[in-house]
Amino acid sequence: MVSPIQTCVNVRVTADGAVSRRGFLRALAASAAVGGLRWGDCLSAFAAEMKTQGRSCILLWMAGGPSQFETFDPKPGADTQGPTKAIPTSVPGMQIAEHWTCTAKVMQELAVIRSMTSNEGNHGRATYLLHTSYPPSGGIVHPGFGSLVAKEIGPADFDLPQFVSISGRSIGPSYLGVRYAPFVVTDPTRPPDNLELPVARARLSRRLDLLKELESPQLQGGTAEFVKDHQSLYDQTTQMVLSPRTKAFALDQEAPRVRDWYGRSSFGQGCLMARRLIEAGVTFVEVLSSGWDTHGNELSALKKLIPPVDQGMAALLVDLKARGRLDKTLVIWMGEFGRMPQINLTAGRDHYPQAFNVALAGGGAKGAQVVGATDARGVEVIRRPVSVQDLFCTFCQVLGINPRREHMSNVGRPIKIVEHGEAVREIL
Amino acid sequence: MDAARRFLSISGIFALVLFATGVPVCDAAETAAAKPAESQVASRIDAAFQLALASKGTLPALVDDSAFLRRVSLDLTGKLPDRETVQRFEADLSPDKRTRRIDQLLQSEAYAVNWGRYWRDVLTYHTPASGNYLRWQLFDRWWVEQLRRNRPWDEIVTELVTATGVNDESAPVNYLTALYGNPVEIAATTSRVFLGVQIQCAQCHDAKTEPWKREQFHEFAAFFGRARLIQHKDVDSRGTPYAIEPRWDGQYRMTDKKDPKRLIEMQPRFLTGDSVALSAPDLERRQALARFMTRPENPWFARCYINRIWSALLGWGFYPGVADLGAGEPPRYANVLALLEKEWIASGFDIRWLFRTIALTQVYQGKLQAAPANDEVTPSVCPVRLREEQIFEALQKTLAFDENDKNIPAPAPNSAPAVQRHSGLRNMLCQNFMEDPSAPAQEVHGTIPQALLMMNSQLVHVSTSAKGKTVLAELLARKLSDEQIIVQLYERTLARKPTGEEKGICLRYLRRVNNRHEAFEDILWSLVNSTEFLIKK
Repeated sequence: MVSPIQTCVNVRVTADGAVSRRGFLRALAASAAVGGLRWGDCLSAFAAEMKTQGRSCILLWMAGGPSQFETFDPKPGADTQGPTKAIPTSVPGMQIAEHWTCTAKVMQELAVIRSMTSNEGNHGRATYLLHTSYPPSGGIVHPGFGSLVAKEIGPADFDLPQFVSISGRSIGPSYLGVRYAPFVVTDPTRPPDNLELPVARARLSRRLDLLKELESPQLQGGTAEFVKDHQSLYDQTTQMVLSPRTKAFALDQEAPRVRDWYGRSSFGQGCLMARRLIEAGVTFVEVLSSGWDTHGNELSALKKLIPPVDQGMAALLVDLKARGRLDKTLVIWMGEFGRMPQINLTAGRDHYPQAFNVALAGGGAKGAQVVGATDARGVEVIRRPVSVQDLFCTFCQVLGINPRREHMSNVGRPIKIVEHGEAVREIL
Repeated sequence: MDAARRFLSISGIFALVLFATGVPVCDAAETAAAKPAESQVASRIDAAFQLALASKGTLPALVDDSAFLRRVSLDLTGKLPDRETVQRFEADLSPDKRTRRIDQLLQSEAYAVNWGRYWRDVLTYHTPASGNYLRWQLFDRWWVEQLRRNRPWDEIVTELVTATGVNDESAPVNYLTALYGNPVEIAATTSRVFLGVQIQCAQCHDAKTEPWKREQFHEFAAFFGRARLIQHKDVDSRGTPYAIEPRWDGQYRMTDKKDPKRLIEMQPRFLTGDSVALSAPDLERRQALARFMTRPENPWFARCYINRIWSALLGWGFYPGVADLGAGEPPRYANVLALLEKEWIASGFDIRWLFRTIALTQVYQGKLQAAPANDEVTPSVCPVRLREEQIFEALQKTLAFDENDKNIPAPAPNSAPAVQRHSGLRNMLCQNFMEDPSAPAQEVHGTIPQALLMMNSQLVHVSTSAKGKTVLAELLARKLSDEQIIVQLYERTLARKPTGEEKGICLRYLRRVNNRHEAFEDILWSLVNSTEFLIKK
């Protein structure tokens, strides 16, 4: 029988290709020695590496910043709450906002962090922060978490993109390279455009050989980097076009009743596509729901926003569980920040990064619980503040990724996956 | 004509007297007459680079004529030069042909369209606004008109910042309605795009890496605090219009951090400390802001514009961010930037002047360097990817298809609620290739959907065919030799002749495939799928 450590080392080698078994051990020991990791962390890193195989992550991204009051941290009776009521859930004593009726029934799977706090209140900056764990800062461009997860735990030889972003562009791979760029599906209700070959396979491969030959002199000189990127992109695209797995994008292979169950909305169908992609071996899928920037007439906006997300997310969790995938799939529900306790003059809420909420399920994360709390009016975090870095350390731990692992950046210095913070123990 | 001569011819004796007596030329006499001569400033830029390089190297040697022509045509007009233009240019032996070409391009309609689109996209790329808030076509036409008339940059920015009226009539007000008239968003965008100051991080907290305090952001936003968004009636079924109108009372207020219930009235105050009174009405506030922004003493205004245009043309900037001048770190080649800044301000923020000056430098006309791997940038051009409409038009020019051909399927546009920008085939390509024009060149990468479109789409498949009414069919019918067709295909797609090596590869390919039509289809397909087709170098 192969020992756990052996397995872990093998995984490392296949995933990376370059790191020798001894190198990996030495790297771990060295980082322990300089205090970057305690020995216990090293052991858990080993354990994590072992669990990494077959893991995946689905991020349900609420673009615009969802209100915590109208999602998972209602404050019944407070002057800040507005007319939205709280409803009970499948977990005794745990309440969420009304209209999340499907999600309320699967609350036993979900851990809600009500004490998220950050200080980025601008969409662009906060979206970057909640996708990279770093605030935007001049010269360095950080890779998105989807690209990082794809690089860290994605299988080395895989013929579909390891990171798919549905209904939105997500954040790019930066210095990890185009191989880990999100493949964007603009509309989940139809298969991606131009997947079908207009010529025979042999003809395509002949063309690609000609293209490579014509470009080979340009692998030296001023445009070399562009040519290399372009060739890598075409290799990846060709692999995808020729892959039988592309049928994962074809939702018409699902029974109509399954499609109805997820909801015929763009978001619902996106969740269904995410499940199919994960089953086909894709490592990271982001599904976007937009419009959560509810500065005005919040209630009427939420009436349209919540039902598709509620239905899609609940169906996704139940379906993943029924198919035995939930244990290996981390599902994250979040947006870039929360919304103001004070309701503004146009019956909306403005941006509020000081206190917001996030929900997690699957991948071994412990559900049926609430972490942290805000005060009775939802103004301030009063228990167990969780920073964005803490949150990303938690994601890493669940997925079996060492958050302090470094990648060489575009400015010539190594950057950690997550610089600071500690995983939220309650969730693990 | 150099500056001194033009000055004499227009201002005549009066200026002569001033010169003779050594009195500094006064502003009134100088306006419109004595812009600094572009060619002289260009030489001084080259000299300043040479000085900065010292013994570490020399300026790059000039690129050949076809490479220069493709570069400058794409930069100024966004269009590939056609083969006749390239041939004429190569045959022209006059020493000032590059200068003349730059002038011709700058006077062309394509220049106004190219840079009008650029600015339209800079200001509308991020907005989630629907077509009612952003009259995109109107805004587009307005921008092209500003470029065509060569309106000075300070006037353009002033008009945007002070715009009022209904957005389906007043084009510039769309800048404000597309941001929902929200002072916070408008202040953040205005500061980022026109000043390169990332003050929006201070919206919630004192910036950690920058010198800005939270209240400074809100003082900036207060300039827009009495401009409000008003919904109008849709009387002609063009969609509900929105207007920016003055509010006569009320103040922009900032939440007190210690006591979120308390709101503090903010006095409009610019980053340099200039302010207007709390009692100032809307237009007075915004006009004051425009004055503070565009006065030559404001260190950010000229620098930000120059850095952006330089980055677009050279592929690297004095500052790493296109819209971020950082927090006081010295720029690269600070002496060059200072020189350009001084002279561009002296030109009266003349947009064509800056393009002409940059394009005349040896650094711009010189050979390529690889994309910068770190902060060490040598003074020469780095390659950059073309923008979406440039790629579309290059493809259209190369393959000569009809943009409105209904026989070629263009997948339905994304259903996301956004402004309908283009239609048909242009829309199909632009949606796939769309990029934020403010993104630094190193951050822009190709994507699989883009590669799929170029590899597999019906558009490319049908228009690279040897059958039907296509470019290739027409060439094949003309009884040209294989080599002649190869040369023509290179000229059409890449605006240059093939190298000997490339010609050899293509000829060998023709022999190997042994089906002339198919082999030429494959060659044309390879050229439009090449890296070079998508970049400016």
